Amino acid sequence: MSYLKKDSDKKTLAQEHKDYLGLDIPKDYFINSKKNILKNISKAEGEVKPIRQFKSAYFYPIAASLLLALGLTFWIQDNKSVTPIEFNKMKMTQFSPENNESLVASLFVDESDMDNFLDAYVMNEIILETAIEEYNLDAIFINSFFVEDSLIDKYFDENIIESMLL
Amino acid sequence: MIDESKLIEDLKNPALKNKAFTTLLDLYQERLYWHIRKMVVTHENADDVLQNTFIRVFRSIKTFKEKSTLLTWMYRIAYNESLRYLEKNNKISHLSMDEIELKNQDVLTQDIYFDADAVQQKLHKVVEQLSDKQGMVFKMKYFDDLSFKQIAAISDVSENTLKSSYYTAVKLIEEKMLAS
Repeated sequence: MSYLKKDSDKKTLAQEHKDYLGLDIPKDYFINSKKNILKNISKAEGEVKPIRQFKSAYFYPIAASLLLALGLTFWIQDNKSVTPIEFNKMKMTQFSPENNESLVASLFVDESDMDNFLDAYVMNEIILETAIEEYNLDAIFINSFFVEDSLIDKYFDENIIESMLL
Repeated sequence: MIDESKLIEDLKNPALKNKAFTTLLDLYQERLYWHIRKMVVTHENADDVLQNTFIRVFRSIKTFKEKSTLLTWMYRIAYNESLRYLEKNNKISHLSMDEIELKNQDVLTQDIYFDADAVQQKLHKVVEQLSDKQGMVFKMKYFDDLSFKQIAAISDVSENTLKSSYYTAVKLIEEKMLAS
C-alpha cells in the first residue's frame, strides 16, 4: 500500500527533492522533529485537562445561576408591567421639559392620583430645588473670602448670574 | 504490515493513542514535511507548520469520519495549516501578490537548506509565477505524486478544474523553461 513506506523509500524521497529541486534538510532532521512533536503533544494534552475539569465542575452551576437570574428578571418585569398609556403619562409628567409647570404636568394625572402627584411635585420641584439653590449661594459666599477685594464685584456678578439664572 | 483501519481505531482509543501516534509519525511525517516545504518555501517555516499539523491531527483524530484515507485527511490538514501560515505572514508584511512572489524567491535562495543549480532555480522561479491554483495542483501532482481525486479531496476543488489547471501549468512551465 502506498502509505507504508520503508526507510529505503524515505531516503529516496529526500534524495528526489534534493536532486530535482535542490531542497535539503538538516542531518537527522526527521528523528529530532519526531521527538519535538511528541514532546509538544504531551504539553498540548496537559493544557487540555484543566479546561475539561473546569467545564464539568463549574459549567452547570454557572449556567443554572444565569438562567435563574434571567428568569427572575423577566418575572419581576412582568409583575411591574405598565400599559403604554400609563408609560406615556409617566414620561410626560416626569421627564418632559414642561414638568416645571405643575399645571401642565397635572393635566396628565388621574384625579385619584392627584394627592400623591402634588406631594411628589412639591417635594421634588420646590423643596429640593430651594435647598440646592441655598447650598449654591452659601458656596459662593464662602468662596468669596478667598477672592481678592479688587476682583470681588466681578466674582459675585459671574457666580450669582450662573447660579440664579442658568 | 499495518492495517490503516486498525491504526485509526488505535488512534481513537485513549489507552493506545500515544503508541499509535508514534507509528503515524513514522509513516507520514516525511511525506507531509515535503508537501508543506513546497508550500511555505523554507525549512524553518516547514518545520513550524509540520509541528502544528501533527498537533492538530492529534487533537482532531476523534472527529475523523473515515470518508477519505487517513493520508488524504492529513494532507488536507497540512494544506490548510500551510495556507493559514502564509496568510498570517503575508498579512503581517502587507505585501501585494507580485511582492510575495519576489519575496518567496528571495527567501528560498537565502535558505541555507536550499542548494540548487541554475536549472532547479529556474524551475522554482517558473513555478512561483503560476497562479495559486496552478501552482498548488502542479506541486501536488508532479512532486508529491498524488492523484487528482486525492488533490480534489484535499483542496475542495473539482477534479475537472484541477486537471485543466494542471495541464495549463505544465504547458506554461515547458514554454518558460524552453524559452530561457
